[in-house]
Amino acid sequence: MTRNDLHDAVSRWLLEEGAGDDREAEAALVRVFSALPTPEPPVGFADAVVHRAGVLVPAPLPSWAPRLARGMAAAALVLVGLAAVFLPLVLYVLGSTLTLGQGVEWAAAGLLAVCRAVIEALSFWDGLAGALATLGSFALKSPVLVTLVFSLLTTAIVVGGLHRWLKADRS
Amino acid sequence: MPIDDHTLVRRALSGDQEAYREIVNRYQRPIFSLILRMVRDRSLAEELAQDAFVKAFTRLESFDPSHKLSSWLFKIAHNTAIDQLRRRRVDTVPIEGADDDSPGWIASVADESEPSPERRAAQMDLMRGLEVAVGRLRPDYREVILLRFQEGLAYDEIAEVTGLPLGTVKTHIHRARKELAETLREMGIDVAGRL
Repeated sequence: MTRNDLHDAVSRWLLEEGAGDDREAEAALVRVFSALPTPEPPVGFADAVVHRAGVLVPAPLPSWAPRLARGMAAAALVLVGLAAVFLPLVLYVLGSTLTLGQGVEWAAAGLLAVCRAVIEALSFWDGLAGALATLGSFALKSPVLVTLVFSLLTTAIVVGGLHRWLKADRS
Repeated sequence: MPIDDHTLVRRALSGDQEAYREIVNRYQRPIFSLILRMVRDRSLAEELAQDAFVKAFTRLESFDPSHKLSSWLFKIAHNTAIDQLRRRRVDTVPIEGADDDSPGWIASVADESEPSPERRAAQMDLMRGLEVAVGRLRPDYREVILLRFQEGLAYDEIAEVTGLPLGTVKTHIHRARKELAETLREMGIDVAGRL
């Protein structure tokens, strides 16, 4: 850029503006601005930006990470679903070294022990003790029902957790 | 062969720090000069230009590759500068105000090949006069003038950057040109380009 470039550009532009030709005036003003110096950012500007951005921009996950996360979540959901459906059967198979009767007897004995402990602790409260005894006896009569309810509760908790995790991951 | 903007964005998104740096290197000058000529304060312009790049990087995933990266960055810079002007109401700068900024960088680019100190001084006076005239435009006029004639954006790109309708952009540019010419005449810069 020389002095004459800028002076000539300004002169030409002002003449074109005076003549009222928009197209020519615009072209002349482009030359005026191209003859003007452009202010430079300070030295180290790019480093400062990258440093600031590095603090704020989270390190991106590898490209395969979202697919892996989705796959793991899907597999976990399938496993939980299968577990909920087949848990009683699995428990039965796992306990095949024992008889079903023995398994139920142990579970019932455990439940009975818990009920007794609670009943003893709350023995002063006859009404509650009576209710717990009723519940305990109901559970003892239907251990499969207890197992099923336990399975469903577990499933609900796990699915809820997975849902929150996936939602957080997406956001 | 230089890497195109969209490849740079993809690399940045995959965690390549050098890609971020290259984006800044590529656009720091136009973004900084646009913001500086908008806010008329060098240290503030530096801070706002940094803000604009950091905002862009934190939302880089939302960049639509069907658009130009430069337009997207200008839009963010525009919003950053306009927010600042609204907050501080730095809408016009008196002639003396430009002296706080212009001479520093204008002096650094004065034509060293010009042997005569008087002619060099006249060159800087003209540059300063133009800077002051641009600074006296209202902010929305100033911005469209800078985007059009300093950065060379098309009308539709300016509309996209500023969020103004295309017709408004054309009107603003026309009026801003007339005001700029009138201001220069008032400052004594005639058609011969002399103060």
